[in-house]
Amino acid sequence: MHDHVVPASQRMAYYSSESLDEVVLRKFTQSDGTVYNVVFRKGGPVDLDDLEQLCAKVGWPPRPSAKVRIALANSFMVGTLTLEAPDPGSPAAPPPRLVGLARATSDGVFNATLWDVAVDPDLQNLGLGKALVETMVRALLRLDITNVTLFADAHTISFYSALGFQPDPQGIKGMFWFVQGRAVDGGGAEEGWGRCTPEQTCCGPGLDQKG
Amino acid sequence: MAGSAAMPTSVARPLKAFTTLQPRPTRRTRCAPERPTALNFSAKPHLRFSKGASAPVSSDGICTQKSQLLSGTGSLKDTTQAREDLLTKSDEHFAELGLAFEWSLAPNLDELNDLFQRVGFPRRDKAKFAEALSNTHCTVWVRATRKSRMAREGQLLAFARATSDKALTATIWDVAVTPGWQRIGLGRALVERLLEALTSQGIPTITLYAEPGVVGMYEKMGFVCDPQGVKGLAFQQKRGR
Repeated sequence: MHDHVVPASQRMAYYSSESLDEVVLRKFTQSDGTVYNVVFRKGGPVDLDDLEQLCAKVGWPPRPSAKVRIALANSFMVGTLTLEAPDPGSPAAPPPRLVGLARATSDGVFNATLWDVAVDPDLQNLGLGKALVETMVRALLRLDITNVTLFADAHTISFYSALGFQPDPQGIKGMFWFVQGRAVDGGGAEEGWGRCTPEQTCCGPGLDQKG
Repeated sequence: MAGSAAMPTSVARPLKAFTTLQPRPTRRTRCAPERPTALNFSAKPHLRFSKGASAPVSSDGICTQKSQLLSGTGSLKDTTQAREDLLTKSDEHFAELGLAFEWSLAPNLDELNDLFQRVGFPRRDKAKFAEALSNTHCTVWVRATRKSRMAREGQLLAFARATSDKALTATIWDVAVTPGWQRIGLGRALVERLLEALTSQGIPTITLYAEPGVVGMYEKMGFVCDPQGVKGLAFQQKRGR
């Protein structure tokens, strides 16, 4: 199976487009000649079942799907990576498969925070996480949202540093609130869900361990 | 799409799952993440700058619906107790000092910019500020209820806001207390009230970014730096781009 990176000259055409809604990031050719694209989309629909499967594949504890639906609906920007046939509309094409996600909450003007950055382990180590985060950041910067932040697991800090994120810039510390002894109703009795646990929503575990 | 002559050696793992094409279920939940309208869990109108949608009675019996409180189905004692858990100083304590917390009244943007400037935050373009606040889940500010040496009546003295996806995460921003009114617990009071509002809505992950000088204050309130090594990062734009 051969992996073609879409040449930069052709990617630049998409990056310079007004809205960055859809970018073909990669093309894969299987040994039988079938071609698949990995496509980044911003603002497209997200199948909650597919997302739940992706989150499970990257090793995250399950979250109440009602909450996930609300969180996606109230995210300022949601980017997906889908593995699909070059002509997804044609009747012979296999259905697209969700292989990556990142979302950002924001006030739309000053600050944004990236959450839930995940790439299917089958397709990690191919630069897709990098492309996903870069595309999201670029889209936010285009909207003049200059303070783009995130929380990263320890083993992913080098991944984000390489993309231009700095930990504790000017000594500013990211902090999490932990309930003092009283359970927060997180919408379910799931163990640990009612409490604030960063690994459930951080950008970390969805990326390859090697960063 | 022209392929290059020298192709990289394949590093991809075989796409096993994809090639076994299962028939898709016909009915599935779809989520269209375009800019949403507020989702109301109650019949109350959603006010700008309000605390957000009211939560129904939670599993630990805390009732935040006023109508249910009045009808007696919620436990007023429990609600008061829960509030006392989070608030170190009550609204009444601050009322005696001539201070009130405002949730639904929009802050005056000139006063807000003056406050920001006094605490060393950048002044903001007013139109952008208004848009940011309209996209902010919770906004709370402190209003002087009477004229004094240190305030005009109605003056904005402190401010804090929180953005959120309204279900899973929230981030607190722009906590500011005007210098003449610092050191009486207003910053903490604002953040506690935001925490109360957010936790009553069942939002489990609440975060903020703290300058070095205030990390200690937030630690006293129950915020933790780098839990399990999870760090806050910010994108640094290169100069000249």
